[in-house]
Amino acid sequence: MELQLGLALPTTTHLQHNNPTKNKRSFKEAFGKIIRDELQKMPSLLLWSGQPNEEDDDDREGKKKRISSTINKENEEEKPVVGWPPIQSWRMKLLNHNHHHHHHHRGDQVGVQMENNHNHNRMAHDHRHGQKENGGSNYSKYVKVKMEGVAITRKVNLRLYHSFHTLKSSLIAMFAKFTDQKYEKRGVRYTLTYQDNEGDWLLADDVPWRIFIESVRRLEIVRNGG
Amino acid sequence: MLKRMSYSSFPEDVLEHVFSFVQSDKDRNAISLVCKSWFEIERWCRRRIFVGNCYAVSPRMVIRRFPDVRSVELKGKPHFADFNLVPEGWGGHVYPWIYAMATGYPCLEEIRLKRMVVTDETLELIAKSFKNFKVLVLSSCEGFSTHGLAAIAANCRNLRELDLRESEVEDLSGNWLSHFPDTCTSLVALNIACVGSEVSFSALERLVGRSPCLRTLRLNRAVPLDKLANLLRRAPQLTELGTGAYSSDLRPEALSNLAGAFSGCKELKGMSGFWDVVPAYLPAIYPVCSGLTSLNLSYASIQSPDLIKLVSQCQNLQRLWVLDYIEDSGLEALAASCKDLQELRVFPSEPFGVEPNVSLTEQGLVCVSEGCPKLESVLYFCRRFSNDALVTIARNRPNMTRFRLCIIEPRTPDYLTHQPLDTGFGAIVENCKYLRRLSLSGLLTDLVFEYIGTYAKKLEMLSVAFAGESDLGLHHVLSGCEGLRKLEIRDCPFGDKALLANAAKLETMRSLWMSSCLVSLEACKLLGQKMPRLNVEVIDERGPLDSRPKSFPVEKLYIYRSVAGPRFDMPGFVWNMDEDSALRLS
Repeated sequence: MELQLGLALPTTTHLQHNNPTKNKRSFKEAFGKIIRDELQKMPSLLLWSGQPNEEDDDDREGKKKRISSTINKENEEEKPVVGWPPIQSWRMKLLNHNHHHHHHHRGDQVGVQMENNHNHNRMAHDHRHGQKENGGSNYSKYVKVKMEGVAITRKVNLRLYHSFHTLKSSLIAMFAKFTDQKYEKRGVRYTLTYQDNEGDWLLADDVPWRIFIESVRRLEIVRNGG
Repeated sequence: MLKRMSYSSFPEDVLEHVFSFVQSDKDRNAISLVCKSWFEIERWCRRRIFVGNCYAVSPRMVIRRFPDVRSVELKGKPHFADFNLVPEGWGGHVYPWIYAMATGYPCLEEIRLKRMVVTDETLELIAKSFKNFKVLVLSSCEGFSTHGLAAIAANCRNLRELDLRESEVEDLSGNWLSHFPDTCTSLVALNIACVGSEVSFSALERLVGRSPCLRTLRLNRAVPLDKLANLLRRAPQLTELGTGAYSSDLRPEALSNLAGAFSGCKELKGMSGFWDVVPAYLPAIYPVCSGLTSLNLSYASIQSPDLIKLVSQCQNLQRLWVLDYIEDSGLEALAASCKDLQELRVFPSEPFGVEPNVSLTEQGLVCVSEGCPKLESVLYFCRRFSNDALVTIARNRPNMTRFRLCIIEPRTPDYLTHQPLDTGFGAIVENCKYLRRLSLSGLLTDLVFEYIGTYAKKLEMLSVAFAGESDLGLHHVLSGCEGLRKLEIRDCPFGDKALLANAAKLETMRSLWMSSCLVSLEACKLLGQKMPRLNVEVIDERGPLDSRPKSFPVEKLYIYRSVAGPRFDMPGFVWNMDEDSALRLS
């Protein structure tokens, strides 16, 4: 019993405001018709009595919802809900394996790569990244790329590029179809910025390519008004 | 009256011969209900059985009724086990079945298992018990290693099929393939795609070379691309091929050699594999593309332009599995070029990414529903949807039988109107009269379940997550869906009242799964005691149930009908709710 009390959550009510059930019909409203029309004909263990303990019921649902809302909230921040999205476990392993494999595979020409943020594998990922940084792979280096104003974040293998010019034009081509054409006509220019391994955002062209390649963690293409 | 007499005046062997043409389980069951003599004749000549839940009946009962079965198909764990919702050690052991059949069915030829625990000991027992054993299909099974496979290879002299699709095999030795004796020339299908480690390549090559009937060969990722040409030249009769890793440092002449080997495979209908695919090597398969009806690219992380090039070569495609890298533009191309498409599955490449990494929306599926008139089966993962799109798809494809939509973020509303997706899914069930399987996602109220209960009369399996508002939702489904066999629900506010009011319905279904819902322990107990033919199992890993208030919701609930009574292999975290009454009765 004490254990259960320990599970009880702070009596926050604000979470329920977001709940789609706030406009729920009362139990009698919802079930009145069914009770009359159908339920009495059905072989059942429990007929809705028409006088359910509404208070008790709501309380229980409310409590449960608070529990799951809290869990979900935590999950969003820390780890995904178990079993959601519904992807078979062998396929999940494959997603992780792919990620691993691409860091090491020779002859890889795939420019953009899947990645997996699954928390369970964080250790494995760190391990792999560790390997890479120790010289494990010279063939692929994947970083996330965003373009200002485009919702999609791509992953790109920087080892396929050898200069800022080719990288930049390839990235702009990759994102171009998602940008608003009318901005293009006004002659928007793009600037390539990157986050280095110390977390600072810098202009890509300011450093030699080799230093950029060694320290880049993330890229963003910024628009400069036309 | 006259008619009835003439039935029974047929000699038994004539009836037996007639029955032998009746293949479907449903029809065989109907035959056995006609009269006592038909029941007797039918049970003696039943050669294949399907048991959808290994705990629904005991092996002894099956063997007693059907004494001469040659082919057995069994299923174990609940479907949600695929998504890690069933705790490790839950059950689904096949050993008791094999043990009973080893003496009951010495002439058994085929075993097909899904989601079951298969130990090496079990595989060894299979290998030595059935003298004319031919087919072993282990689908999403676990618990065995390459040692057990070696026993099968070494002892089953007439093996036709060894299919390990999506199973978890512990890799102890890549050498198990060499246990196939040189006299084994009967293989028709070999699927080792799920095996992790390298297999002995020379053994594989020899085995393929001496199997003139081989039609299906699915390799694992460890088989490199440069070995593929040789294998194909040894087996040009293949109809299904799963490649290994589709990347390598191929020289141009090796690539043309591979293309040559592919063009020799005139019968090829299905392809899968393509692990680590390098798009530059894909033209090697162009010679066979026009013959392909099935293409599984769901392991191939290549981008939309490359996918478009490939898919537009495959104009006779009926089934396509692909990652969301195909994007809306690729699905548009698919809709334009593949007019025979029946099944489409689009899997997420980054299911846990916060930001989308591809441009795949509801538009892609709408396009395919417009362009592909035979489309009837869909599994689609994406990040946004709308009621409008669902209504359009429903109107375009009333022939849809399987529709599974997963909007990745739970409870996502219509992105245009911010409304629940009730009317959209309502349109699906209303228009698609023959819908058998449905998975819901997005923001949904009880209203969608009212639509489902009202219209989805042929629905057999329904998956629900993060949906509904009250008991009424579940009540609509249980009271309305006449053909429902399997219902799986997670994280929905459904509780005791709907469940208890529809207790009798549960006996007509194969199973009901509910996790993170609002069913109390008390209701589970009541259900278990009053419905003796249901096994009501509470799965709770938080410790003994007694320590909690009766009204506390149970963690997971699995209910299934059974003529065998409570199962004997429940682990500590599973409680059967009619144990008390069983004790009282004994």
